[in-house]
Amino acid sequence: MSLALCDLRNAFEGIIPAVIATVDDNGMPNISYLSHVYYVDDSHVAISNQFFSKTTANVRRNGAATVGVVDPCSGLQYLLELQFERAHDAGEVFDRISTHLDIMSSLRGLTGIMKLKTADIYRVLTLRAVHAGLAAAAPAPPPCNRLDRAARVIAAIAAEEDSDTILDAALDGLYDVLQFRHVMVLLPDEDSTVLNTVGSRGYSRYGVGSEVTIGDGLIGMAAATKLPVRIADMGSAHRYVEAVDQGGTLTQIPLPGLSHPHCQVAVPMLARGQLCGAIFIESETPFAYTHEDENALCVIANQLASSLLAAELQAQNLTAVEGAPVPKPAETGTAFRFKYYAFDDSVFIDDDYLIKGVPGRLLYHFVSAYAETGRRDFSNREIRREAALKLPDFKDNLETRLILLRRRLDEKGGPIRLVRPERGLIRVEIDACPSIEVVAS
Amino acid sequence: MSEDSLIAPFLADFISGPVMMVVSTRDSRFRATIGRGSGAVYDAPTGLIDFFVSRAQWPEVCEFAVPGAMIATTYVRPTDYLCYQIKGTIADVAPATDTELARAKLYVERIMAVMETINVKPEQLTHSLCVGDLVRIGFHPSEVFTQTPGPGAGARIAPVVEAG
Repeated sequence: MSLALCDLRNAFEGIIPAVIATVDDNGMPNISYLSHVYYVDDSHVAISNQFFSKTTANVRRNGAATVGVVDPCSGLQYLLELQFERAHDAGEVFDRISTHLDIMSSLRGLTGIMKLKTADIYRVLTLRAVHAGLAAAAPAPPPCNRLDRAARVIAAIAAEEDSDTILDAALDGLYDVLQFRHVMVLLPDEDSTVLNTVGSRGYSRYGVGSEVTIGDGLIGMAAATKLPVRIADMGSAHRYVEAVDQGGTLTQIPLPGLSHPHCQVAVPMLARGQLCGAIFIESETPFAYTHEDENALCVIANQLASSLLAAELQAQNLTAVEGAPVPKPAETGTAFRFKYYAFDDSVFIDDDYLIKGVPGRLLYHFVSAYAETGRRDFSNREIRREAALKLPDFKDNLETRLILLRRRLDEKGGPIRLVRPERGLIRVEIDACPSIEVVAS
Repeated sequence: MSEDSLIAPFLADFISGPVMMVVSTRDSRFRATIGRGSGAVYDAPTGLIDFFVSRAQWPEVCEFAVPGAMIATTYVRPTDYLCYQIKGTIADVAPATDTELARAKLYVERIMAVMETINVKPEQLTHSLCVGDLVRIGFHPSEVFTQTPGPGAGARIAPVVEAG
């Protein structure tokens, strides 16, 4: 069976560094290690040009390069004869490589050192396996049909109308159908500077409300660049999530990450070219996720983005039926302190941080109305019209803010809950009398 | 700079230690070959570096490794990426002796142990570290370059006299 370039994608990961050799005009070889070879298409690869200047000079003169790569799973080696075609200093391939390098150098504590100059595109002239020193490892088991499974998850997402059930369909599908055992979905805040976790599966806690700054780490980079990022084998010394988990402040909720991840993938959720969030999966097993997994995740992420966007638009036009006021039930719990900081809309319950931003503002609105009048029901339409909430005129993402708030309250486990008696309507359930304190900005 | 002073004691120790090593010769089309080394040693009296390659695994490298041909070899310490490239001209090529084969096997054991400390599993390297049909390529070093990743990679260096 002849080899195809796509068969070698694991060998391009750089776990065992690749090697590139060239020859100068005098016939002197030059041989360097390089971090990654990037698959472009069935007949082309890209090589990052950061600082191997002699290689670059030789290639620019005669176009010829030979590359050796190692499959980190089987240990098998391959040689590629390459012909230089062009160098890119911008564009999709450049951005993909640059993002990957930025993340890898960050993980290695070499931030800024591995800055990409150009992504050099080569045509692959020949490709062959190197004679194995020992009997070759058993072939990898055939991958499950990712396309089929992704289609089932997409169908489940597309069948839902409500943002909450759309999100659950995505999380359940990723966990149960695609069997990604550690998964998170994150959505951007109102300023699009931070992603908030709105749901997860496979962790000891949901981590709803935990934040990732866009541009930071694997998830933040995928969001900032709108490109998927996959780290096949991080090594035990490089744990992004653990780094994020440390150094929390009063208003930080830790990400629900693995303590010893080896393989991580983050993909952006895109709709109409806009960032709508990110999906993140991780595993304690190196090479747990393939390129096919990454592709499946991208398709599902974009379906999730489109469905959430459609649900948001539809919810803006919903008019909830104004029923009779629901009587305030008897409060059975112990009174609690509800502290609201106006400068960042953060809310603390009995001194425990709960949430901030628009969801915090919404919760303060609900709880103060409840305390003053006993009111419990609020329609989406009136929330949008309430000037005090200072929601943007459009693209307010109210649905996702409410999801974040509702799930955060659920994870907190009381004394406040939000429920949806019908679409377009929010009901506040409070177990005890809140003692509200407002700290002005 | 004389050839004798090119390989300072630190560099001689470095290349004969547990470092990963690769080699390149060139074919008649001026295309570079690639192979992996299974040990190297600098012989100060002759000024030669003896570099060991499995002919069974890297036939092209060995086919074009002939006296008078040019050769490039690169050595990297896996724990900190300290890396040097040494280029030169091939003086002689011969099948490895039993002593040299034993030395190559010891090298493989040592580098495997180092790689395990950085979480590279033996099965990931079993095909890269081969001593079958081992050949010794003796070459006169003529140029040394630092290749540790960073802006200074590729710089020609003076004799290396201290540990990195």
